Amino acid sequence: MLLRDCPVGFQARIKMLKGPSALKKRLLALGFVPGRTVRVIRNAPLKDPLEVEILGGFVAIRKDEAAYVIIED
Amino acid sequence: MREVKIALAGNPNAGKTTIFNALTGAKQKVGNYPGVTVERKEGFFKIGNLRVRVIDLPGTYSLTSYSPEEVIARKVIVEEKPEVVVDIVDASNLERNLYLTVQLFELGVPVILVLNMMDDAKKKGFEIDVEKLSRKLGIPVVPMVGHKKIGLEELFSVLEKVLKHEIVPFPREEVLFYPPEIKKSVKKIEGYILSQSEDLDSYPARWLALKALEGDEEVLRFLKEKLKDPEDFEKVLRDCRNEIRNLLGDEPESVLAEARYLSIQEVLKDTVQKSPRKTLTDYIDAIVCHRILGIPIFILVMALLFQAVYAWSAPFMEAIDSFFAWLGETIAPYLGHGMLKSLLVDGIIGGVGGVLVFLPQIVILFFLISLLEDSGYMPRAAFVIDRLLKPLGLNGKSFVPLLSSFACNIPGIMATRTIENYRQRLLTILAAPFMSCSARLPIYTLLIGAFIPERKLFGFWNLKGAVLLAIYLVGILAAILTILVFRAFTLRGEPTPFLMELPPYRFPTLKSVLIHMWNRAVLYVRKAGTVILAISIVMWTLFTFPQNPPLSKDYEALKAKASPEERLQLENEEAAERLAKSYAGRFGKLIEPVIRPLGFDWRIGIALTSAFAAKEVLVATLGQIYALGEVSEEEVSLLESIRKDPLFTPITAIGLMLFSLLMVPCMATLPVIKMETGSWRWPLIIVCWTLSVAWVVTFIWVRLLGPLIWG
Repeated sequence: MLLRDCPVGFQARIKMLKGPSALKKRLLALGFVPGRTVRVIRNAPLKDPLEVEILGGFVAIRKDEAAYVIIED
Repeated sequence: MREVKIALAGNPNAGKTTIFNALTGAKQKVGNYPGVTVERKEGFFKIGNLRVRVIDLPGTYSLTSYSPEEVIARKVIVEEKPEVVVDIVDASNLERNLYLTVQLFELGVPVILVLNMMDDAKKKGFEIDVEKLSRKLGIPVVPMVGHKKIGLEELFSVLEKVLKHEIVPFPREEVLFYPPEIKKSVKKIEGYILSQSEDLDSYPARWLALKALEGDEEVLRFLKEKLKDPEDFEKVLRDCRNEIRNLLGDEPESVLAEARYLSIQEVLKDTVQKSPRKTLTDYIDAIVCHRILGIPIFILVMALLFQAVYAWSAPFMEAIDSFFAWLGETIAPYLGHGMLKSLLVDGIIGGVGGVLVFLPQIVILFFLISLLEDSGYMPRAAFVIDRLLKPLGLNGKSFVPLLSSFACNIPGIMATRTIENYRQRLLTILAAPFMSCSARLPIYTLLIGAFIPERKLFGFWNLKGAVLLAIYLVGILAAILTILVFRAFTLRGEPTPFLMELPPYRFPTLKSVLIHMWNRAVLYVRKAGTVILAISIVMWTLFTFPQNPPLSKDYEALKAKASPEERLQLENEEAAERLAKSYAGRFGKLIEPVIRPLGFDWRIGIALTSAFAAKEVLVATLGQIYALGEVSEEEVSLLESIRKDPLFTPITAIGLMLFSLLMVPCMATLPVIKMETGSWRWPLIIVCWTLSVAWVVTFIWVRLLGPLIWG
């Protein structure tokens, strides 16, 4: 399952990251690490981006980028 | 006095600037790193008999080569060799913040850890054992609350001990927790690098090996230059990367990041206790980012911001204007009638005034931007509006610069500094000049007043208002077109990802807001001001020379005989003729063939030339050309004169509005674009592009659409 498709309130562990290397490093630096729990807090008023909780902080991520984060079912 | 260097590192939003300000006070220097538009901030303070130079590194999450900021940060650390790196972390968000710390450890440099925002950490339910943390990491750890200056004394005393070499703050190796496969590969690559190169410019070989394994493009390029046989190296590296992929089932960069976070977890395991609580941030965000309320709140904040820049600055701008007018008038009588007077009063005083007149808008905008940034609302605003800017390849952060540009392009373009991605920053700067700034309004007022009939559209909509709105919209459309064109041709590349931390809300401190504002103002006056002054003197020269052109009539003789009324008329006529015969006037005539297809003649050519100085000058120049003397846009005489002129029809009038909207931004904007993009290349491109767009759009209107719609 992709982080992009998770409903608000959903919580799950990250399985792996895909996508170009530069983006992957950026995701990793912000805490999107396999094994970590990520929780979807809300959608922006215009539906995109998402706000997620990761590593005890909040991060805004566009659906395009959230499609590279694969989470455990 | 001996000078030593230290550097401040840390994540964005970790309160680095607050601590930098607390350490150095107002003694700061702001500039750019050569070649890139990353800001370089330095300050000074004294410890005992040491003068300490503090370099405030750009805020980064990591030390990869993801952004110019990250590259600069690690370059400064390795190449400028600060005595110690003070790593400022947000104690309420330790796990993410320590990711950078671990990477500083990898570099093997001395580090002092500052746990900032200890109060927030407590509120969030964290209990941190500072001493144990320090013991585990092997470096000094200083708990602080930056904006209250709590812990500042201790930081000073730790710094003193480190700088006097009483403490050696080298992190413990054992903290880094890599899988054996990684360690093996790093060792292998390190050995290879050491045996195949002579000089690594003080970069540690082990770190280069680690980064090469991670596929860091910058480091790979560096090694290619330094190694004897780059191709052989590539092979060795490929083998190592493949081996890790096979053994550990993931890319080396993921494995390494996991290892770093694992190291962090290991460090925090018995040093931090947490019992998470809901904080104020959760409650504020529930409202500010709300599904329905989010956008109205955004619009309200932006409306306030715009109103402030547009309206609050007006009295200050007028005051600056009248001060310089007064200054000119006051000193004029002492200077006689020669060239000197004209140069001083019109050229230099006018020029300095022309630089300073933008300060109120810059200062007010940056005051508000710092408030929004420091409080934490700015990232939320970007979050709320991001979707709208996405189709343009921009993200939410471009909104404030573009909105501010409607008041004045200069502060708008300066505000693009909040956009991290260089390509996106450039696109925003390219779009900004098409936002119709307030200086263009007098042109519209004059021409709409003269040519657009008082009529209602659909029975309720005032036609004058509709035309004005249409002009603004054309500007926005031109901006969109510009972004699309430049994205398709020159500024291609992967779309910028939008991945942004939403930091906790905090109370901004007046001091850091004021320092930020002050730094911006100084930067503008120093960097752009001098060039603006130089250009205004050039413009003055073009309008003043040649000094004594042959005139068609002997005005002096005629004036001597004339009645007072005729005399005034003659004086105006003389001024008009002198203007037409100046270099600028000749330039206006020279370009007539180019603007003829747009329905303009040489007089409009002169007016447009003068509008380069400042757009609103167009009105005054038209007044001069029509031999009316000094006029303002409300004055009936100019309205009447241009209405009688057969050249002007409603269609050409709208054409002139379009052209002055779209043509080059005023001369004060160009040096600011240079300052923000780092070279004269972009201002030049903007001049060519805006002129072309202006010509084509006006042509289409005057020749095609105008007659069709207005006909």
